[in-house]
Amino acid sequence: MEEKKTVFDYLAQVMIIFGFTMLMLNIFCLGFGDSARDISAIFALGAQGIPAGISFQFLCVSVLLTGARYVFFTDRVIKKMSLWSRTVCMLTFAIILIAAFIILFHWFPVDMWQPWLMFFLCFGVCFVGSCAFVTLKEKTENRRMEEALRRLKETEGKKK
Amino acid sequence: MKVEIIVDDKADDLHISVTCRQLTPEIEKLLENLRMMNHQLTARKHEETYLLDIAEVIYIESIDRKCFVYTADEVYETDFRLYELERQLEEFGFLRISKSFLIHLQKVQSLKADINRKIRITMSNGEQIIASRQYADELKKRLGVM
Repeated sequence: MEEKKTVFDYLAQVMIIFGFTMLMLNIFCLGFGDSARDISAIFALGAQGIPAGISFQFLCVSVLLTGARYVFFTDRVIKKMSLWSRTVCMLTFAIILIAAFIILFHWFPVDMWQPWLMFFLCFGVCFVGSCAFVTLKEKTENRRMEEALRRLKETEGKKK
Repeated sequence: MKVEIIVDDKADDLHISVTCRQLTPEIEKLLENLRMMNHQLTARKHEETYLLDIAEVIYIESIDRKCFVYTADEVYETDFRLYELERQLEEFGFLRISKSFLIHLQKVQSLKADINRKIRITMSNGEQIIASRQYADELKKRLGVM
């Protein structure tokens, strides 16, 4: 009895990614929007907020990332693949996708190294942070399950 | 059919006697259920019937409505349906972990969290079985970690 996900579950996932991105970008707008308005399409309105066109571009990114998550982090498309390989594929896809959007929609000038450095730094910090969190959570859960299994075996062994 | 029950406080052990003209599939099923009380599971292999000790069973798999019983070295077939085995073997430490698998918890070697809140279970014979998300929650409840 596998719990089936509906289209609304994926829409919710899209909205979580989109909402969080918009929140962060609006905070950046308030912080340095005015100083970055001349070099970045994202901050074209300065501290006033994110342009509608950019919002739709980020919505597209959110939809594509959710799609990639469906491909790489469920076993509906790829049946057998290690978690490590899935993570590498997802990371590669996300970097290529966002880099493509940066170049296509001029989110920042592609010939400037500083924004690229910031992009990879932010992306790297978020990725390493979330990976560390997931790995720690998984290890803790595995340890708890192993201990519980050992206790259950001991208890049931005593009954017999 | 006549059922006779004799309550005798001097009886050493439970004694069940079945008298019939011939062994019908229904009587076979009744006997199989009785054997299970005796920690034995009736299973077939190459047209021969075996009485397996339930403690030897590692897991049971259902394929195309047929149930296969896996021990350390052999695979047997049983006439029971998986839902029947699930109900009858629960008290012997068996647990349903997906639509097609029933595992013996005593024979679990290790448990590992997998993608989508599933659990990868390695059995004592090295076989790996995935507990689907819903059944994974049941497994966690049984283990007392949820």
